[in-house]
Amino acid sequence: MNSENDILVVCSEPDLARQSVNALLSAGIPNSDIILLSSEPLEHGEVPLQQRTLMPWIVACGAVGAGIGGFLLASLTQESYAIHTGGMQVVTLWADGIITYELTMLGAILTTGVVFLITSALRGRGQFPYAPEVSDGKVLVGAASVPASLRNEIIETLKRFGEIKQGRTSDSST
Amino acid sequence: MSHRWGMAVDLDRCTGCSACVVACQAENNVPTAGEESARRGRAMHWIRIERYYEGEFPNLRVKFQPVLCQQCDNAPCEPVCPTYASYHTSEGLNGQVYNRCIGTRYCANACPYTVRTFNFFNPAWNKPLDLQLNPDVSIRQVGVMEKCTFCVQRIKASEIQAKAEGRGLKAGEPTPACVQSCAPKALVFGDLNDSESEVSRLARSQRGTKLLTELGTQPKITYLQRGSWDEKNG
Amino acid sequence: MKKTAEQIQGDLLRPVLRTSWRFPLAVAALGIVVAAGLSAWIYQAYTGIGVAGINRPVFWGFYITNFVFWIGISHAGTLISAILRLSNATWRRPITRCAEVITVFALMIGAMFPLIHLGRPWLFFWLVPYPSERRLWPNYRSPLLWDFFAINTYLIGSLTFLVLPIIPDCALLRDKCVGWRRRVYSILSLGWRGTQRQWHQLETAMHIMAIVIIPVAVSVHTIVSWDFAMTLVPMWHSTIFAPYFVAGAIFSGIAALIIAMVFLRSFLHLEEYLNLRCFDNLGKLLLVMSLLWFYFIFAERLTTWYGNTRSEMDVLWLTQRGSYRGLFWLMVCCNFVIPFPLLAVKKLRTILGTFLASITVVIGMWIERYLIIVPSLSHKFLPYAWGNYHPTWVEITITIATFSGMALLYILFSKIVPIISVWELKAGLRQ
Repeated sequence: MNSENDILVVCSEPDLARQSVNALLSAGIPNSDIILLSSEPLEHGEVPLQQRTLMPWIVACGAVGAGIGGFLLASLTQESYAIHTGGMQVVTLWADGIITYELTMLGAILTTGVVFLITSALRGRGQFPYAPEVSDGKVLVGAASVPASLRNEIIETLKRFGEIKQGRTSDSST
Repeated sequence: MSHRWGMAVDLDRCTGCSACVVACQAENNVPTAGEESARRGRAMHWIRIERYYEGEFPNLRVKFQPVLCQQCDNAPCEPVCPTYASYHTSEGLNGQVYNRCIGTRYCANACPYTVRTFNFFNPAWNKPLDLQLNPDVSIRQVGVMEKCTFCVQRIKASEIQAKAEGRGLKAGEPTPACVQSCAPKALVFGDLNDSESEVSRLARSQRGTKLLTELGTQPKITYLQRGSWDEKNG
Repeated sequence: MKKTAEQIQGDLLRPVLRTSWRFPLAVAALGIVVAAGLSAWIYQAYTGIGVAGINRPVFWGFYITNFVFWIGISHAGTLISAILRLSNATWRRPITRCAEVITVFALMIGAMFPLIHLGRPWLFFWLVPYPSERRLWPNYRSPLLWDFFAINTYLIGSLTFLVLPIIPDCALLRDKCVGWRRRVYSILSLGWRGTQRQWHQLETAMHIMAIVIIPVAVSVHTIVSWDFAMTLVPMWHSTIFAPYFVAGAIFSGIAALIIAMVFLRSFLHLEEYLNLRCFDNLGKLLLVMSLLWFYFIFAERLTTWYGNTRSEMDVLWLTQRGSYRGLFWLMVCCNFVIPFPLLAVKKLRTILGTFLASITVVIGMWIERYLIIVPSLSHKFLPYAWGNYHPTWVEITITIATFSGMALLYILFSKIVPIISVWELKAGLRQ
């Protein structure tokens, strides 16, 4: 992404964006090479681009891991220096259950945050083209790393939908 | 076999003289709260004499009840302490570790007998009382909870001495300060695991009751009295 | 009047991009009060916790009241943001961020109080499970430890829930600003470009967070209620405390949100966004919570009264007929008698009506926390241990300072980030 060979079209409406995505798909550009930049999320039905994410599964793993860790923390540390209080057992399932539950949730939260940061924010810098038009409400659609042979064809296809931007956009995130 | 320390308080013998209160203060370096603090409800006594009036003049009866930490077996003050400052020792005492206390005061709220006192300020002793501090007992800082320990320093001293001399504990040792100072011998202290000790015998007495047993705290102090509070038999 | 996306953007970014003379004045005034509270706290930490009014037997007073109160207020965000997000209620779009901000700041303030009320606050870190040289770990059997874990989880969760949707708005500001502001916002926006993949990740993350944060929020105030319910104190040892506190928290949270929204709409000229429809819907929710609150308090008191045990009845009468009766009946008026007509009668459920009802609810809920804690402690089992509680200037100053602190944090936040989520509102336009 964000290479010399990107071709982007500035669409003024989401409808035009949908049409241009369809045009790119029918021109043979694979799903993963299509760029779509917008200032608000476009609904699933609007633009026929498949999106998959493993985030829920990773979060579930993180939650389970944190939960197990929490239970071990509570039970093992209590056993290691067993101090009796109030006629209760040293390792109580009620209390340790609460700690486990809270740490499970914390694990889910932290995993969500970390996965999001890594996949979207940190990898985003420099990888995706920077386009200030997006903040004006425009939607940018394009193809990444277009090989020279297809360049003219793609430009022709996209010209109907709006103004064309070519090449490496300014990477200035500042 | 390990010890299980308990106490019996004979309410029919207690005269309310409060020698136990003074002795406890002297032995355990209990700070003087001062008149202003005491008026605000911050008195620091580890043992207090509760006074109840019964009947109408001229058939008035006064009952004195010394209340101290009941050293409960199911102590509600112990599980709630986040730092294990309040915990159950192997000899059945409710231990209070001053160094672990961060002053959440949860234990004091949980205690149904309200026998725990708190150091709201750094303790001070009016001169010349600062000269009589007991070196065997540490002084507590501001923000630390304290309460009756059954004079654990005396218990430990007796046990260490007995072990050094290769013998068991003699009769009458250890003796907490309150028990030592009680003139009518209303307070009796001893090992509940020894079924022949006086405190075990008194604990089995017909005259024996315990405070707030309905709460299930299993206190280890038995109060002995001739009749129930409501009996109108003079 | 239907607004276009550009108009929405302009309106919502205006409070961030332009500053009136009232802003520094408000910050200064609130800052002074907060500084006073901070000085009172430092004085207390230096002199000793005894400068507060707590004594034996009322070992917990204003500080724990404030603790429970502010944690309760923090349930605003979860209800509005998470539950309405999951149920796809469109009217929530303008108010989600207002609510989430209340949650985060109320939690931060509430979480300070366990530190403020400690006798030795410099040792608070002993509640953190870490391998110490004393070989001692914290006592997981203590409800205070459950508090520690629950509140921290909720704080981190609500921070995540707040920060994630702010990123696209920071990107918007990055593009609209120049100079040092642009640099700040580009750091805050973390490389956001608005690609399809990023949006999908964000929406997935928000969906997961909405699902996760609801049980966390329920557990937080449940665990706070268990600080009381796990003891044997008369009228504390009740199983109703867990749902009672959660319902009360949502109740006070919605009221706090309404109050915040009224100030926002007048000071930031957001009348068209925080409009009558939002207040009407929130007012209905507030009415439901008021009825629920009444149901819980009635059920709790009926059970206590019918059981007729000595120590509990003493505390019951203490609040209803004894020395606390003034506060008790004031609380009932503030939580039910006054809000009920204001919220139930459609003609009265205006913005002013909901605002007045919310003010009384916030006051009433604070009194309710006080009346849960203090009368029970002042009148436990043994008569010789009964006592009274009077707050001192230290506690009052710190209490007032927290309200100022909340307002100050809110004002500062609305200056840095748009208080209404721009991208969510624009996305809602096309639905």
